[in-house]
Amino acid sequence: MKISYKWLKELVNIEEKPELLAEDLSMAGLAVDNIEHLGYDSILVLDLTADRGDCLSHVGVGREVATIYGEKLKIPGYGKLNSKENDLDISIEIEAKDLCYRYSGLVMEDVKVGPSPLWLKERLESLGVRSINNVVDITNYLLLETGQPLHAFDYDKLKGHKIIVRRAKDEEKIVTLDSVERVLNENVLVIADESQPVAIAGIMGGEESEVSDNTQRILIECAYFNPLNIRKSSRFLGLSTEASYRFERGVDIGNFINIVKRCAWLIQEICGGRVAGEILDVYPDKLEKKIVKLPLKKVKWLLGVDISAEFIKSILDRLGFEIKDFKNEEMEILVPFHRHDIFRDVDIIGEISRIYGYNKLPSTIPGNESVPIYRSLSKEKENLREFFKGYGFREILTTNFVDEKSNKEFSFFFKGENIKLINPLDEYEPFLRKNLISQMIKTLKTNENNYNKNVKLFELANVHFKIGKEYIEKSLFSIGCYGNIFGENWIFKESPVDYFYLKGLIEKLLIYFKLNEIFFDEANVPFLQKGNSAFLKRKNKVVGYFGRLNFAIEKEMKFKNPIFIGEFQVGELFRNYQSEEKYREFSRFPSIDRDISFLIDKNISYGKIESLIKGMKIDELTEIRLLDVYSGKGIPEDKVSFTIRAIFQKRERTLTDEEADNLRDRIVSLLVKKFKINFR
Amino acid sequence: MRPDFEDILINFKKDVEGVKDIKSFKELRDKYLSKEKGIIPNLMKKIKQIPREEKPEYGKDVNLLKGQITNFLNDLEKKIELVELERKSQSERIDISLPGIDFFVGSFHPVKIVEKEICNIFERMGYFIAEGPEVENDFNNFEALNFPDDHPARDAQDTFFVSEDRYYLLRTHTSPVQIRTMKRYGAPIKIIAPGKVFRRDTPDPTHSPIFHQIEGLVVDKNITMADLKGTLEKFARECFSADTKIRLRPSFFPFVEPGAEVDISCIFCKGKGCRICKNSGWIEILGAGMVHPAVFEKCGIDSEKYSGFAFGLGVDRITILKYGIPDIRLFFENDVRFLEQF
Repeated sequence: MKISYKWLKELVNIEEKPELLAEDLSMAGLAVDNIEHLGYDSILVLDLTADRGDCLSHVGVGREVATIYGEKLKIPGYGKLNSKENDLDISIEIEAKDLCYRYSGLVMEDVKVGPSPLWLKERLESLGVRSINNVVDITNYLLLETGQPLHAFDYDKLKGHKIIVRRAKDEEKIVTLDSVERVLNENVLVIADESQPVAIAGIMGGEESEVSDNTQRILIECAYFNPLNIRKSSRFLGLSTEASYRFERGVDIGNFINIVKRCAWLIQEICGGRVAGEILDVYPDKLEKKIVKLPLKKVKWLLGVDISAEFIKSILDRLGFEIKDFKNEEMEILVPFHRHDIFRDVDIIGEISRIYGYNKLPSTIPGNESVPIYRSLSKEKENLREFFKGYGFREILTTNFVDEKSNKEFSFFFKGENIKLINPLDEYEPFLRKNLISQMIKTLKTNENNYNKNVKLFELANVHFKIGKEYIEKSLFSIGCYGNIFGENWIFKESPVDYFYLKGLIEKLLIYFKLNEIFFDEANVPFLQKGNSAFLKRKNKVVGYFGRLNFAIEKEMKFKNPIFIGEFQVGELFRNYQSEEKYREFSRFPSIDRDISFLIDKNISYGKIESLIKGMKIDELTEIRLLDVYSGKGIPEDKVSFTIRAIFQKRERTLTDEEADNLRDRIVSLLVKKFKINFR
Repeated sequence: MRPDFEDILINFKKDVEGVKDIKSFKELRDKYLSKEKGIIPNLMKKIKQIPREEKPEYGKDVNLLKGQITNFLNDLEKKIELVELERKSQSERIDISLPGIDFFVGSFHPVKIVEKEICNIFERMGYFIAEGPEVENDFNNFEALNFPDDHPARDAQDTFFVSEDRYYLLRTHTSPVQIRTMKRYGAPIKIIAPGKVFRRDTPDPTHSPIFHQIEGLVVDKNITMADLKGTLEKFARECFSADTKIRLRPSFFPFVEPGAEVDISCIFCKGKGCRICKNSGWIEILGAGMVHPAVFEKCGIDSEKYSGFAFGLGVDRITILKYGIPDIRLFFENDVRFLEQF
């Protein structure tokens, strides 16, 4: 909303310069975004909040200024109206009383339509309104002055000299002032004559009945339309105007007669002509002003400061409220018709506080306690992020919006229905993601394209899908990397990330979080390379996967580096999670190592050997370490050589060499029995 | 001392001069003191052949000679060890200017760093962290927050809808967490709720359709707007700097009354006026106000008995201010050269 500083000064006594006025208005809740200096005037550009429709005019803003500075608002009036002896015939009927609460009008004749005087043109143009002709300009001028949209019809174009305020018929058409043919429906309110709509109520007039150079007789319209209906129609038609903007926010229904008279007087003074009849005023259900009760103690209760009754009264009075009654420390307040944002006591306290000044309030800090709020897995999530950060991974944030392919091909965990945005920003990415991995892969690619080496990334975020009518949100954690584990230098010239790098990290993760039930298993994930990837499982449930990106995808996306990725369901990873942080006694006696080297069939995995040994439940066996794996020269083609180290220890005393040897022999004989191994 | 012994001593001292390292030292020691072949033990053995009357004198002189040589050798051994240590130190010297193992250090996303810092400030003041889902419904996101159906106030929050009836949507602010928490826990409440929010804004340097907010809500008996002001002042001082001031401007959010937009004194120019604060000396960082009684009523809390304040701040914006980041879109680009700076 643009406000002329000069115009404002005609309405209120203002001593402050525009800059200071702007500051004072902002601090009272009328945000001034900008000041345009024109030389002869300064224009304040206001960014008003949706509740302050009353300030969409100079009088409205003037009222605020008067309140802030304790000045009097001078509302412009009108002089003597000349009138004709015989009235011109006109009838007004409101059919849709739920959509039009009041309709006032006045007919004038002998109006000379022509260009506006310079002062009027200049004033409109400095506020961004194009000058059309003197009659239209006067209605626009009054819109800017009072906030009330007015419309002038060519009286002779109104068939039957009738105004009917009614709902449009389905498919009814009207050509509006902008020469566009609009197709209406029953939800749109129109102003019609005997045969057809002549204006879309509150939004835009019709071309046929517009005031033209040949017009001599006019009908001035001043009305109140249902704000919600105007808003809906404006949206339906894709047409927002200065008028609709104000009707949507509510205009001052109480002041129509004065405004119509002022309009007629300005037309008489500027365009000539005279009134040709009484003011018509159709107001079927006269509205009463709202009454709000304000117990004074509530002001301090909410604001934390004492404000005197006198001060409150003077603020309310200047803002146009009336104090109908004041007894037992309670005010009964009448809300003026121009305020559509005041319903209850707190709204009045809002008015008092903004004029009193928010920054004059004292500062205190509440010392209260809250009921405890439980938040699941918050600590675990934070530790998960810390863990990967500690190993050199960087956190990323990616968008929730994806294309169909990303959801279809990369959502390993969730098969629920895609959630599609009704109004996406990008029509190619209308879905909420069901996985994080597709964007992890894309982000790795972006970094590779940007020549970044040795990249390690992670993301913790929510994904969404639908099962039946239920919208489901799940928390996932993704990792991705390429390049070297250590930066390449003279110590580690090369240390490429690979399957075992990720596996090592995840093994440590499981130890760190004491997730003992989770084990590794061969993965079957379409976008991972089979035989180079693994599942993390708890019982039969896959809680995560990791490994090498499928070669075909690597090739298709033109990756230059081998890509390793992983994704975990946070909720499943920590299912029934209780971090046991109890001290356990450790053995203070030395341990004994026994190494066992043997050849075994290639098709027997190391995991089987290890779980066989662990399954023996030897108390003294504290650890098994795989020291060497070899196949190739010197070994039969179908065999692989393993060297494992068994570490034995007793809790209560030193283990003897003989005991260690016996334990080793037990392991060896079981391996021989089960796998027919050969010792080296 | 017998003259032949004196000769031995003279020869010994000559031999000492040939000692260069631990090896030649050991040879010298063996030559004189070795039990089997050593010169001194041999002299000891010879005592049997010495005439009886000379024996005491001979024995005394051998012991004297042995003592002198032993003492000398002990001193020499210490010196040789020092020399050896020095040699070893020299040989094992490394070029300490060579670079070490090039570990990688990870990082958190700057928005998450700032989010945590802010949450920590409030946690120190006794706030609990609360959460809510990103896909919300109209009731929690708008209706219960006193946004009338089809009201112009909804325009400011251009919404992504996920159901045809427009009942389900992506939350446009973290305020629905207020509703969820009040409905579930009742009063008193003191929470902070961080999270992702969504608005249908075309990306540009200052807008992103996905961003992060932190919601604060305090509900109890006797909570006033002065409490809100004091709390935000404390927050601003801890989040930015001890001399940061705040300013409250009246504004409108349907779920609070009175409502305010809150500025901090510009952290770049200390309020003098600069490009960042558009010469105003102030930077807007959050919206706040006293919880509207209509909101309490929707959540089943007695609005005559309880009052409360709420605020919502944009984490991305504060991150941009704190680190001087020129473009919000950098947050979602995830280029390592950006990420590694935090």
